[in-house]
Amino acid sequence: MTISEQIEDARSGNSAAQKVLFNRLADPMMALCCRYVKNREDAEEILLDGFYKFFSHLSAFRYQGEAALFAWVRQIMVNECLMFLRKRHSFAIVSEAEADAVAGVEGSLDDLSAEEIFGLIVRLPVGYRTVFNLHVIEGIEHGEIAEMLGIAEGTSKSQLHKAKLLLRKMLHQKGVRYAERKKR
Amino acid sequence: MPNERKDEFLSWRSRLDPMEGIPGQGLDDRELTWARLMDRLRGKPRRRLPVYAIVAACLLLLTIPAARFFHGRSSRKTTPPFVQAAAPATQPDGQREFVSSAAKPLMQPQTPAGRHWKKDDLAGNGHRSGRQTARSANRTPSAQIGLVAVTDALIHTPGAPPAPLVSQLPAAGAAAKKKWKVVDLNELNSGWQPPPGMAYNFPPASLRVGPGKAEPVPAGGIAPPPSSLRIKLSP
Repeated sequence: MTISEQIEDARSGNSAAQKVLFNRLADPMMALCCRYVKNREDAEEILLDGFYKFFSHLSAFRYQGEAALFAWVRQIMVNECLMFLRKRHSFAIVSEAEADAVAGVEGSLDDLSAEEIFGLIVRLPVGYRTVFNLHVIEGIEHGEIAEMLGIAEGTSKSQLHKAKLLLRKMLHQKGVRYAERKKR
Repeated sequence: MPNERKDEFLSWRSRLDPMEGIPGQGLDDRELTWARLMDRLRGKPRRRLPVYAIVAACLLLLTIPAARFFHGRSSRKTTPPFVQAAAPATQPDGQREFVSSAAKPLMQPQTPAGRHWKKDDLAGNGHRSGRQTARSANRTPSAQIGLVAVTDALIHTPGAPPAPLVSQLPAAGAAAKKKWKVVDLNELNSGWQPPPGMAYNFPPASLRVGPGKAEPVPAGGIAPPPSSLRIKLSP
């Protein structure tokens, strides 16, 4: 059974088809939610909310390929994460003390695995992390991020800049190990 | 741009993008999560509204009628009894007394705007007071004017005692708390002063005196004495 057929069955309320879709999408979407929200319980709640919206609005979705389906679900999950963060955090207030300028990064960022990248992003403060996720990972422009988070565009840019500085600092601390690992 | 620094983090997008997810970051118990999702899809949504929000809404609903109730009571208490203000009275011969438009309002009615007249607002005899009558009959600013000049020819006739002017004033009996002085200007000029608080009825006057106008004596009337002017002064 193809994904389009599963979607058609899920639209009609077939729970088996819905479960197939859920199993297919749950893990990557859970990872996405955890990238925005550190707490796994919160992330799971967000995931449930997102899937509830996904299945509730599935009749309005026009299937145009698996990538489009993933993009749509992903957008739903990102919106749910932002709604959650908006309720709990103020994006404009972010500690700046943690962002120190660090010149250069030893070792290539391409050497990092997905788990390592994930671990670095999750260590960022919430404001940095959110803007970094939205701009670098999701590819959303600063103007749109500013609208989504209710902050100024300049704030979004500065948050991203500080996020990168902090990541470089963290990478710098890790870089020695990468260099050592490379030498071996 | 040649000087623009390449974003070294852009390569992370493709690494975090795969549909397979990140190892170790998936759901702990997929079946349990699926069961919760199915509960929600079957119409068993979790309680999103906190209890305190429900309590606050109930309190608000109770507060609104209570506030309206007490507001109504307080407005009734603070409203003083209706005070009759001077109003133009219609004389028996159809003449209307002159009301000076330059006078200041004696008292402002305390009835809130837009409020309908109730039984409490009526005079003791159950009729509308002169103020109310004037308001409904003649909606002019004169209804609030307290300085009145009156000259009437038919109030006083030979052989019959003159009717007290006070009784001809609009609903004079209803406004017990209001004290009026009727003063004759001629008397004032001669130096005579009526007792305070006494309504004084001067012999018939032939002219209605007003600013810039005078009316002749009606035909067959008594020879006019010097024109007199009565001025009703507010206390």
